[in-house]
Amino acid sequence: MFYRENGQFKSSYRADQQIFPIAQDRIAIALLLLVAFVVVPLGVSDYWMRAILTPFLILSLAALGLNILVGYCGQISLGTGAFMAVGAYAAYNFHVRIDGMPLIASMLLGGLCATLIGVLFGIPSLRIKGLYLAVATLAAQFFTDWAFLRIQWFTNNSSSGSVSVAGLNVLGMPIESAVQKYIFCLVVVVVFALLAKNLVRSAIGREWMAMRDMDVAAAVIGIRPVYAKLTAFAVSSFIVGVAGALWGFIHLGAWEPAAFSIDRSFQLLFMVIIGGLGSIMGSFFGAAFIVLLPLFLNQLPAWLGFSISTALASHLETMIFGALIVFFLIVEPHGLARLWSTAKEKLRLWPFPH
Amino acid sequence: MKLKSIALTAALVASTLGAVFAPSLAQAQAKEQFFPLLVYRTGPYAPNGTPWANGKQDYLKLINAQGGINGVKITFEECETGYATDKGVECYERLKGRPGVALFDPQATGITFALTDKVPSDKIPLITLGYGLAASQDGGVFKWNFPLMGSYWTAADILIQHLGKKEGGLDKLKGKKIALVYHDSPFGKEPIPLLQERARMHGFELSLIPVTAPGVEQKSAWLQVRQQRPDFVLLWGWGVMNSTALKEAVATGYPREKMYGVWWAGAEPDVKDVGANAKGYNALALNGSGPDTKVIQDILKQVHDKGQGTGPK
Amino acid sequence: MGFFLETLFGGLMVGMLYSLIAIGFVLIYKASGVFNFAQGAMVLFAALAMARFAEWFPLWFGFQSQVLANILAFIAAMAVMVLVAWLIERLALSRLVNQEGITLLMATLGIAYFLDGVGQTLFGNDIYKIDVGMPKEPLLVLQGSFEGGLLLSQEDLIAALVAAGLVVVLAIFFQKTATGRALRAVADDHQAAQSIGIPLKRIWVIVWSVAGFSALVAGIIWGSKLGVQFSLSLVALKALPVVILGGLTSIPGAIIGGLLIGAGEKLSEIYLGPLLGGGIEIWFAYVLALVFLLVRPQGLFGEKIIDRV
Repeated sequence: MFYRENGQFKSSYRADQQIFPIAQDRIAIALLLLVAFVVVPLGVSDYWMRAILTPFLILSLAALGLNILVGYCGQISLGTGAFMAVGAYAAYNFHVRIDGMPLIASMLLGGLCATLIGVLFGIPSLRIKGLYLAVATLAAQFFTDWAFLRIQWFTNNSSSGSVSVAGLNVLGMPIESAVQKYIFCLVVVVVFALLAKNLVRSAIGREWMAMRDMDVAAAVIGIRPVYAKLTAFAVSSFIVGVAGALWGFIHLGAWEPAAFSIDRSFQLLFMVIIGGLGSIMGSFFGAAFIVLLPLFLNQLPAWLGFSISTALASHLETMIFGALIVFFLIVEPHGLARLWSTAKEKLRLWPFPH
Repeated sequence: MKLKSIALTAALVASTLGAVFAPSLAQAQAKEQFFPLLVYRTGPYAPNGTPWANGKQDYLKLINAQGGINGVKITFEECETGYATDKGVECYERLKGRPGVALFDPQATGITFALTDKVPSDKIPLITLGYGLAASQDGGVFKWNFPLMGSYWTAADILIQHLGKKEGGLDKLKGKKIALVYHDSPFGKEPIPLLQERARMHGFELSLIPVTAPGVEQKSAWLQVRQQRPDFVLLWGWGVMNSTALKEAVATGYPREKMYGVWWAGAEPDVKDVGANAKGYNALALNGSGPDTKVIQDILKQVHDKGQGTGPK
Repeated sequence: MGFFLETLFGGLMVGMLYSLIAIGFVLIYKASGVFNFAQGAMVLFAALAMARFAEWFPLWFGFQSQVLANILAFIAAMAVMVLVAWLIERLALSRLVNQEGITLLMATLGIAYFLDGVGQTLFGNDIYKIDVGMPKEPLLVLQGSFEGGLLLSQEDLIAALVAAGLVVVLAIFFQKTATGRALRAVADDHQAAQSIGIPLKRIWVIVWSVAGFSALVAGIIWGSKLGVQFSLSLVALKALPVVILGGLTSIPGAIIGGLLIGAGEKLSEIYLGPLLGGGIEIWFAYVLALVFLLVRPQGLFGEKIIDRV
């Protein structure tokens, strides 16, 4: 009844091709942005912003990058943690070695370094497919794990191998408090989400989707596989690299290579699959699910009033997490984004049954 | 359908009750200090982390049983980190807002690094007992870090001096080979600068053999030890790496008498599994061990005998 | 020269140990087209079951003999693995029929997390011992030809023989028995197999049970070598290059791949490692597999991937 397109006529191509053609969608997004930018910083506690919303935003950015590679282009990659690490360490080196380097510039340059590495490790995808490629990308993961521990230059010759950044600011505004960090991440994520959405709606996005669906047929109609696959790796690694720089600089403050280990790669892949392959919105849903669920499970015994040992709580969390993953895959293999779009379809007809 | 809505209402009621009672509980704890304990009872470091966490809890319970510190009781809550930095940061953020937070003990070097940047602005002391940032011994720079009982530099130094004493003088170390089998992480890499400096001072050859975390498969490290035939091996591991190292030493025939572990490589879980083959292995110890020390006796008497012990005796 | 041979032998034997785990992956992929990321968790679960039952049975039933305890524990652990296989098939796989490969992969990853949690809840997360009487001391051979002799680990040698034996048993099972033929038929084409009356569900339970059996054997061997603890499931990450190098659908490929990866890993760590600072063996194994894949994208012995347009 409320979610109808009746009366909304478009009179220009531009209007017809906008990301949210339905006015109700535009209002909803505007409200969401208002809540995110205004209500949350004013109303929500520091703990929530620091420990829940900021990691959620950064990981959803990384999941967005991975979704472009896995969901839109169909190349399974298990080495995302590696690209995050490259982005973080490269940004660190630019930040520390060049005096007066602006934060945004070092993060973007970190992303570019991740792009180079991503393209390098994406070259095997031209020959190797499917599960073999997935396991081959683990080579990237383990190689960067080793490189950032062993090659002293990357960590600015710190004796322990751990690096830290402090005193971040953008154009003179400090990024220290929980609110400032949250707003900074939010701005970066919104900008990148918009760019990514437009990218996947464009010609190159269609090339990626053609490669995913049937790469031989795509090559037959003139889509160059090298170009499509490598650009997918490049764009995806850039976004993941920037997310890695955000994770290290903004969320952790001081990190070691173990922060970007294979667990992180699996976590991001979970987010993408649960959220929905091939959907920008899905990355956010997946990230919310994966970030909030363990915290929720952790706090649940306390809320329900009985106390159990932390080891048992941790194991139960793992068990329930695994069981919910399987449950979600059975119930909706296309992810939460598909659930969302089904809900929207039903909403169009509501309150009528058909 | 009906069952579902009943269940839903019950959950809502339970959570609201919990939320209602929580603030009043906080007010009742005015005369208490809160020690958040970041522990890891799961993951590859659990064999060492679990007894350590149990011991910490038992000791705090002992202090409470003896009347607290000047009459102030200690409350504590454990938060599971699994030795992961981001979980440690999340635990820190969640627990730092509690009333009466006295200090933080991260129990892990990686988490220490991350929290070192945060404690100055939150003004909470960060206690690191025998681990953490070795450079934080400089209190002028790291004002909120309190490394107790020595750092990794102290540990490495003590080991070298002990070896020197065994040989009959530090100058007798000249020309000897000492291998460091270390956990490839900031924890394992901390002693390297000091050992390199000592190698320069006394003329012994230092070889560095890293073991990729978590140290589950160490055959190549110990084949290298066999190839180099060092006079001594310093073991700088944690968790499952320690027992695996001892087992590989057995398998490659390196005499355990020549192995010296840092205090994190010298606990009972590390050798229990290896059994009789670990005989002769040496390690540093920060504390008295065995059931005869007074502290252990007190804990057994005042905590475990009253049924309040954490974990097995 | 002596040390080179030592490293080579050591690497070959460790490679056989990796292939013990790799066989589990190959079995399940061959018969149901699912890449079972939960194999590492299954190895851990099986090893925990074995270790704890061997510890508990003497206490519960009051006997002393370690050998009897081991045998009973083996039977009990095998029963547990069959139960796990049945539950996985019933609750997860049968509802995910016909989904894409990546969905099934993620489902097995979810199962891996679940098994990790359940195993450690039921059996504990300390280090446990598996004592099947493996000799721990090294063997020194050829002391005449090489100074000091060549070091051979007896435990690894026995494990390599067990792995070879397992492969022979499985090969006979697949080629000669009716069930084996049914498994191969299902691997080839589910629907065709169903249409000639092969009970799909029962076959999948059998496959996962056989994979569970190989996980149990791998768990016993590795557990006896390293001790049974959570990080045992991480050894599966070292066995993955073996799987893709040998080909996802070939059991002999798992052995050959294991030998190649094991030898390559150890030789690279000893000879190349010191130049690069050490610790290179895990990524070297993956890079080695990657290089082979660039030449043969389906692994050395895997089925050629046919793209239908």
